[in-house]
Amino acid sequence: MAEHTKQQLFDNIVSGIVESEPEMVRNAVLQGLADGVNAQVILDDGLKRGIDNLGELFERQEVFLPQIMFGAKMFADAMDILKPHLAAGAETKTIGTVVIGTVHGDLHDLGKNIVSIMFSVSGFKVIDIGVDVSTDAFIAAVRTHQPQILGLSSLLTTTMLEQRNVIESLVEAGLRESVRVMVGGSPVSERWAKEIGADGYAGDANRAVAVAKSLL
Amino acid sequence: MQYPQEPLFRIIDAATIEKILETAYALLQKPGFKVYNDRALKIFEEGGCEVNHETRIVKIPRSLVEWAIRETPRTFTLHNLQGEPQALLESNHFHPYPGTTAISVYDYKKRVFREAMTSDLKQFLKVVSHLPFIKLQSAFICNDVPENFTDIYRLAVHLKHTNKPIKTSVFTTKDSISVMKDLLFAVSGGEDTCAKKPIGFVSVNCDPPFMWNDFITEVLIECAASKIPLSRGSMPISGAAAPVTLIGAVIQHAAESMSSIVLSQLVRPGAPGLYGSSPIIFDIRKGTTPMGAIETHMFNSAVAQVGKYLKIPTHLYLGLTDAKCIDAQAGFEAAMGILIGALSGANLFAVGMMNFETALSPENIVIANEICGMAERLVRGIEHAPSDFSTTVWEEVGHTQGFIQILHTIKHFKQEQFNVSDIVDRSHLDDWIARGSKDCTERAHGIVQDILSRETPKTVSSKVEEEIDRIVLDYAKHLGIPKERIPRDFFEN
Repeated sequence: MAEHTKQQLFDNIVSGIVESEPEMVRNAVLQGLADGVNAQVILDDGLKRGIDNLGELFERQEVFLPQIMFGAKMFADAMDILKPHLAAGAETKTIGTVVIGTVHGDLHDLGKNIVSIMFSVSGFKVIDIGVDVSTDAFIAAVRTHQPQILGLSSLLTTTMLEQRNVIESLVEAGLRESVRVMVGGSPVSERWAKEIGADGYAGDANRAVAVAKSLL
Repeated sequence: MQYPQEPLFRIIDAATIEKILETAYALLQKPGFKVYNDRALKIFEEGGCEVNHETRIVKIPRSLVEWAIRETPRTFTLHNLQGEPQALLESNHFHPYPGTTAISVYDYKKRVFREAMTSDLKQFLKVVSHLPFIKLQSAFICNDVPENFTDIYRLAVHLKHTNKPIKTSVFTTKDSISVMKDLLFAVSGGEDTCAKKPIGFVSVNCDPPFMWNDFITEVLIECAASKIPLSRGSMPISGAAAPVTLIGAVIQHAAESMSSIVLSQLVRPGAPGLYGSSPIIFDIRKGTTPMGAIETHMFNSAVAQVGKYLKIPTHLYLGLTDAKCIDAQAGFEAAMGILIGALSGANLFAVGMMNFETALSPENIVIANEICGMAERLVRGIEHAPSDFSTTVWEEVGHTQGFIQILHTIKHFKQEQFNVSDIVDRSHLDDWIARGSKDCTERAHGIVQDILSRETPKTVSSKVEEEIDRIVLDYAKHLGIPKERIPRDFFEN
């Protein structure tokens, strides 16, 4: 395949991600595979570059949360297409693993979803275990996925007490040293994070990424 | 942008407007108008009015008023100096601009009002040129030139530094009227082009109650003759120079406006004009004329409604403050006035002045710009298409809080949500603290500094600029003002 045509395909993937055009991304990925372009190259020169561009535009406030989150979705959808063509383990080059969930008794997932997506576009592997997650389920997920970071979300002053319970249970299970715990949610503060012995707190999704990176 | 077909707010109903007009017609007969200009007396007389030359009282028949209203254009458009249409004046289109003829500038750093100089005017024009929701230019009288020269000088500085239509007027000497016209014609490319593509409007007001002074009447006649758009109204001061009841003040305003509509149409049928001006109340308790008073806003809103009823484009003063610094009062008075103006469907309205219509401030106009942007959003309303009533979006998202990352959001959020500037703080507390815990006015000052640090592009060609300079220097010479008396700032970009 001619270099310039290949470049055009990659550019289409990048533009599709930046401009929230899922069909454009999907078509270019399929076309690339049909033309025999290496799946890893499509991933690196197309999809990852698109996500990087989107991240830069987000920093400059030229794109906003919806585009970032939709970009992550387009990335995930494209990965589903590419996966069978990638060498085993190739796509899992990540900077760390995050297990994240909203604590028991709390059904709010907006903030947690935003943080998850910001983590994933920043190079983390994110395992989102949902809302109303019991302490036991958090412990089980830490055992199974062995993440570097555990994120505990809570929107309510009543449920934020659960964050303390999870941390205490990690200690009891002998897992506290194996994982850095981050807490977030609108009633949560730096002071609360310290009080319950969490390792990190951030007021918004952008800072959550920075804090997580500093904890690695 | 799309403007609503009907104003969103009506402070008086149509039946009341009819009664207002009936009473106004009666006032045009009794007590009639006292006109201190001989040309106007002749024009009124030849037009069919009863004129008493001794008392200078003019009585205007109703049929003549109805004819004049019919002759008045229902719409016109203001252009920039490049001849591009900028402000369509009809229906509920609204175009805020900085209130005009301020004599002082509010110095944000020193927290004082001081006399405005040429450099203040140029800086203000530059700031406004970067504000998307302030649609015309108008600003200070410069205190660094002789008083009899200020009108023409101010206009010339505006014309050399504006990328938007302008509002202007003359107040001092009769011979300045023709110079004002020469300047307007010079930048428009002649009298005919100036009439076809007006670059601004001139404001004339009668003296309440029911008096036309010699000078202002002359301005009205001269501008109407050349089809230069006029804001021809009155500034009845409810409680001092007009009845204290708002309804009485609106009636008097209607009668005074009718007299100027008649005069301008007798001078030249089809002469464009605006209905309104700067209606105001006199605060009986404080002895002042507040621009930020809720009653002043109500008065303006009612006047806008009468103008719309007569199908004449409207011009008012809404969005000013009487505050002596840029504080909460400045903010809430401006916001109330701008919202009322926008909701009332006023076509042009002056915003941003402080201290009873005497002062302007770059910081305050930057804040007003933000309010005007929000008002535009409000007036655009809650839009909808048939597809908005389908359940697809909810089906797609299900029982998750996942609206943020769907294409529907990406497609609509920019249109739905007004993009606030740094004037409005919506950041997290930590971010706000990290950026210096600045209040709104400090942030406005930051925006002003940023704009002033940018390059100043030229807005007129060298040829036009030379012509402006020539007219100004000739007029200075005529007044006996040596060139050295003209600030150097005037000749610099």
